[in-house]
Amino acid sequence: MTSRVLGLSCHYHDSAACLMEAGGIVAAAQEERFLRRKNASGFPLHALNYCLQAGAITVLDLDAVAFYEKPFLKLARVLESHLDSWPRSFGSFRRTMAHWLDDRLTLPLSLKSRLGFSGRTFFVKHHLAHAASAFYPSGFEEAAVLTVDGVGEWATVTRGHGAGNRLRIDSEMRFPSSLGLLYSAVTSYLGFEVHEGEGTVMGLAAYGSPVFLDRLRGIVPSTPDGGFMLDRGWFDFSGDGKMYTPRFVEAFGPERVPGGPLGERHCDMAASLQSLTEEILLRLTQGLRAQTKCESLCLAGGVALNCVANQKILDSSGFKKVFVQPAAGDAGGSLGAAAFVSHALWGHPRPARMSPYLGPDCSASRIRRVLTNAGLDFRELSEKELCRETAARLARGKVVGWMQGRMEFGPRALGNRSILGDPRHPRMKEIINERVKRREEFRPYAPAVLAEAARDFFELEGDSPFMLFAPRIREEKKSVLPAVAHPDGSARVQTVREADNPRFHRLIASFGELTGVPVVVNTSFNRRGEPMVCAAEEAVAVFKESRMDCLAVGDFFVERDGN
Amino acid sequence: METRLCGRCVLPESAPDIHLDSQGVCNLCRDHEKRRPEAGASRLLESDFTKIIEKHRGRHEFDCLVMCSGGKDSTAALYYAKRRYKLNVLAFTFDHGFETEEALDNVRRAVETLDATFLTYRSTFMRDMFARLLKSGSPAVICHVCAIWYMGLTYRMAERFDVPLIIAGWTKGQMTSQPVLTKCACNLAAPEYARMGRATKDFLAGLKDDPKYKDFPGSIEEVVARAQKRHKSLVLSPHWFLPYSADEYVPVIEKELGWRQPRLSYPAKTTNCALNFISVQWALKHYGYTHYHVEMSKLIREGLLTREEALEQLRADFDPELLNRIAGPLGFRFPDRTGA
Amino acid sequence: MGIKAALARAAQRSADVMRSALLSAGLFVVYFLGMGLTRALAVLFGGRTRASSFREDPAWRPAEGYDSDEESCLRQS
Repeated sequence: MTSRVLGLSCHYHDSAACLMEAGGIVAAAQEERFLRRKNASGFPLHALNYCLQAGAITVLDLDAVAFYEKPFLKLARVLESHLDSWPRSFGSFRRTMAHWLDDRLTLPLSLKSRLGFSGRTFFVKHHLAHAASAFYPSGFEEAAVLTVDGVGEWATVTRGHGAGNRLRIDSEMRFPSSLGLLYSAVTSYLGFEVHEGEGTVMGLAAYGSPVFLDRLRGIVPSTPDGGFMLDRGWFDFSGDGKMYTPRFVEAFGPERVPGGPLGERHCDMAASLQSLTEEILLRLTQGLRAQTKCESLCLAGGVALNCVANQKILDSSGFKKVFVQPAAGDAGGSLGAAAFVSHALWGHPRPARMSPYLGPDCSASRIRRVLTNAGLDFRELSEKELCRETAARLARGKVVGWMQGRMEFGPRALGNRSILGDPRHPRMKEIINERVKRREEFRPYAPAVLAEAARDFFELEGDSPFMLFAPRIREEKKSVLPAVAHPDGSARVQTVREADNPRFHRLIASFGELTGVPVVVNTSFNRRGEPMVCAAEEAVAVFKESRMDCLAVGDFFVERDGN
Repeated sequence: METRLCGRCVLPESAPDIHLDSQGVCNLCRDHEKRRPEAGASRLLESDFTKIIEKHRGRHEFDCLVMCSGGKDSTAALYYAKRRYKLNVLAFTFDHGFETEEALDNVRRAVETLDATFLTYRSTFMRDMFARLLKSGSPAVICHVCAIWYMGLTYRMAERFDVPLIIAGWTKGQMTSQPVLTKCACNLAAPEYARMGRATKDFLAGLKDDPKYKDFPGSIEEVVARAQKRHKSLVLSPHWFLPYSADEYVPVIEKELGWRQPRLSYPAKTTNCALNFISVQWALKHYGYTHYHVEMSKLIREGLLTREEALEQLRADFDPELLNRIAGPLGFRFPDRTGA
Repeated sequence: MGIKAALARAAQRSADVMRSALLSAGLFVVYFLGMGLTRALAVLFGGRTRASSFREDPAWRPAEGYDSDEESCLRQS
């Protein structure tokens, strides 16, 4: 029976690969982690090699490859887009076409020449891949599905329904009416990098007021059928230059120079954009709830990484349960393409639950060698000792690099490639920034809490295992968690169940025993501008080149004072 | 004066080619630091290997010829070729008369378990050459000379059976940037091999007066040039493309193929022929290090071995009785510990 | 050997430059002539382009091309 499928996403941003076998997810990883280049977009050669090795197979054992879009349809949209913006988009046209003519239209040939693979290649429509990435691993027998991103081939938003192995897309909105592109346009207007800065803008929103909301509503009007439009007079998605027009700048004020000072106007703009996004998403999800009568909702697409909006959906859409897969953006397209083939086409059973820990591990012998070759003094500890020692250092305000087990799939660190701190410390955000991360001061750090204690600290009903919801911190606990409280009182929580990550759970529990607060600050293990660390060598490099206090990698514990 | 070792790898100071800076780090380690590519960007990947083997699969009677010494690395290469890549394999072992029974047993068990077609070539052709090398006191490296012989032989076998790929078990520490990649390659441009390579070349040039060896190639480059004129076959090792170290594949071959670590071998945890002890003793005498030091230094730089592990494995304090037992058939005698 | 390799590298670089120049020239023609003509015809006969038409189109449309059979998934369009 055909069972092994390799899903691929690449050529735009966030290349990734995912291997599924008989309906189970064997491995998945983003190419950026191997190349050490954020948002790497090329063919994910390293990621796919890892996936095959994790599955103990070679490319010869694959039954199929599944790609996360229909390239010819996408090209048609790209060409039409250039036609619309003719004659001012030649620069972008030349750059884009050079890439397209390279290998984007010849994936089967490319697979043969790069890998020696001549089996079947499936092309799953982009939003269908997104929908599949959320629905199939959700654990819901039946659910409504909403996908929202920048743009796939033509679709920017889709509504659908999943039941059992069947997944159906019912309707779509099309380019250029795109919530993802709107968010990116304003992100770039605010001086942040597109595909990178959207999360920063979401964090900035809490510092402003939505004074521009009405004006934004005017240029993104809602439609009688519950959708929305983007007025093209204000935006330019031709790819040549800015994503917004001079008319936009006239209306909202000068754009912010990257790295320039942030003022009240910028915060207000971020707040207005966030409010509008939440409004639109609520309208879409409330409409979907009324239409489908489903109790469960699956969300995917890059916009589904907006955890503040996700919380609003959870609170007010009418859906009782909401699932967002950890790699909800384009990297997750590789998972979705593979899942669609595996479940919809081949009929394999769906997994009961999804683990985000799908990337490479590092063996103890390798870690030992890396630490030895780096000239670091280290101790090898049992799990109990490791958690106890780490918890003790955290409780003393130390910053600890924590690298364990298999790497996370998706942008969030979920306790396997994390930098940890004490959430009770009022200056912990500044300390982590000073010692390692060097992020903008307004960006919050997020908490990881024992799942069984989550409700004591946060206004959260269900689980939030992938840090994709932002519930409010309970009023009486705000003073206990100053390091993770955002000005709006919310926090991007990760609830940790023992079954999902026993070691991380044990660490948080140890911290809880010492301090009475089973919550830690959890941010991704990387320096600014770099992807999350993948291998032990990278963790050691960050440790050595930063002022992190301790490093816990595998069973090995390193302290800066002793080195 | 005691020879100083690099503080990072295990190469000793060896003027003029290997020198230590003020921090005790050798020029090769420093070069490696400067050259260090962006992580992942230029590493060989398994898909690079499968791409190559797919081009040749099924086009000849055998897809590949696997060089089997009975050591862990070549046994793992054979295992990968059969089980992982499902190639139609011709396993090939050569014995110059100094192979150990343990190594040959490892090969026999492996080919039987894997049901591989198997060729053994045993010859004492090289015995006189080894004897001459020792008796002349030439600083040529025995393993280099032997490599020229066995590579020539391997290419001839590949030609005879029309096999397009030759698979060796060489590790990442045994990779060079030469077009021909051999375990004991002498890349004269590489500082760590400069003196050794010249000595081997000089020794082989001096053999032209011997009718038995007058046509013997003078270098690995000559072996390759001759072979490529007659039959083009590509030499590869799967270890260059796979992320696994011996820690990972030794338990597999022990369990699946009954592979066993020989009692006595140099370096520790390897499976080399008995003549290897002589070769090592000879190289240490003339250069203070061996090609194993070079190999392990590369593995250290790649993070696949620690310096302590390498030093442990490279410890050489051979009993003269052992050396003389091996060298006996060559008509050579090593002095005992008293110098007699 | 060194000279041969250097010559091969130089030949490769020239080929790359030529390819890039030809590609740019070809794309220039396609863009300004081909697309220009297409746009003119679209406006002439269609009366509008997609850019000008958006306000008249509904936001939601029925989904097309989301078939879930193997044959349609093997197609790139």
